Amino acid sequence: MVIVSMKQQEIDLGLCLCRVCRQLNTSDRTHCQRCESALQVRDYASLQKSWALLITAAILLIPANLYPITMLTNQGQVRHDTIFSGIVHLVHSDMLPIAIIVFIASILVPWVKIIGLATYLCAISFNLPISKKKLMVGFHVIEWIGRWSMLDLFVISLTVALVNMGQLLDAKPAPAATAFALVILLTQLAAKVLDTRLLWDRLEPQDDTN
Amino acid sequence: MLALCVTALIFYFPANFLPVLEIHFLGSIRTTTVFQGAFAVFDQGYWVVGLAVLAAAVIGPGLLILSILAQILIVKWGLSIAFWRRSLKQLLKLQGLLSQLTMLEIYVISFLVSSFQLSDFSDIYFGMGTFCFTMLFLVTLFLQREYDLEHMWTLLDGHR
Repeated sequence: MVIVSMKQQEIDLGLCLCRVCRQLNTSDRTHCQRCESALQVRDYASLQKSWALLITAAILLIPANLYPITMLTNQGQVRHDTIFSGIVHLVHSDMLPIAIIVFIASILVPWVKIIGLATYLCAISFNLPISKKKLMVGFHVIEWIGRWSMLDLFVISLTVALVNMGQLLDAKPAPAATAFALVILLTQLAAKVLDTRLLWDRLEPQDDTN
Repeated sequence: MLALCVTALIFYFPANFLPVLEIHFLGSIRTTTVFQGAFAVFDQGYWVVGLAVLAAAVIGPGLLILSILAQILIVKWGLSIAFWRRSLKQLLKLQGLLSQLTMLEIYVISFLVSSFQLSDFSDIYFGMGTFCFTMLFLVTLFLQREYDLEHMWTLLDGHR
């Protein structure tokens, strides 16, 4: 059996997919016949871009978790809350369901996203033997859940606008909010710039079907 | 789809500019709107957060609805004119970005989360804006379900 990579197959067929509008083009074209975007059989630079964005996001995740994300003044007492201490506080005040939602949106999702994307990029860069099918499903899940981290920022913005009564009761955002916003932005970008066709080029003699 | 679009536009302005949450604390009442929420963090100097909230909850949905409305109108009346065909092409190219930017469903959940969080030390009431915002979310959900990007491209292709 002759094993041919996905890229070779595409070149043999003389076809190339447009990444903007998903139109199939013949590969002698430089620009898509439908939307006139530049065509590339594979965008190898996208792997580097994606790594760069992901590493930046991973670094920013540290200040996002260590620094306080909100500052609450309640009758003269100032309390700084990090993401985690906010959740612990929710658990102690008997709001377990809300605590679970916030935990998933602001701790679980960013970590799963960064670790998942790193696995995905490693699999492409270092040819790790992980099933391509599983990787692709994981990638779509990551792309979808990524949006839910925005929940924390929305809650902060509503709380800050609502609670402004000076010394009595006052909520303000704190430095981690910016870092957290950047983590979301960068991870979403890292998933978006990546040319997912790169995954399918790897040769797998044992199970070529996935 | 045109009907859904117009409905969404009608809900859009009250959703963003009517008060969504109301707080009663020691006799004083404060209200906030979605729009004020974004600007409050902006004023505190956290402009990255402010921009993110503004983009995901106000600008994103607005542009998405307007873009789909423009696309429907062009498909109905403007396909024979080259200028409108070019505009439609640009709009279709931006569609993916706009639908990713729109995060109405998350904002609806965040109403719930923040009201529960604040109910710890004060009374919280939902305003008219909450109803409008939830309706905006539902209408936009159905609009996005009806919308088929590939179909739009085919319509454009048919008129080359």
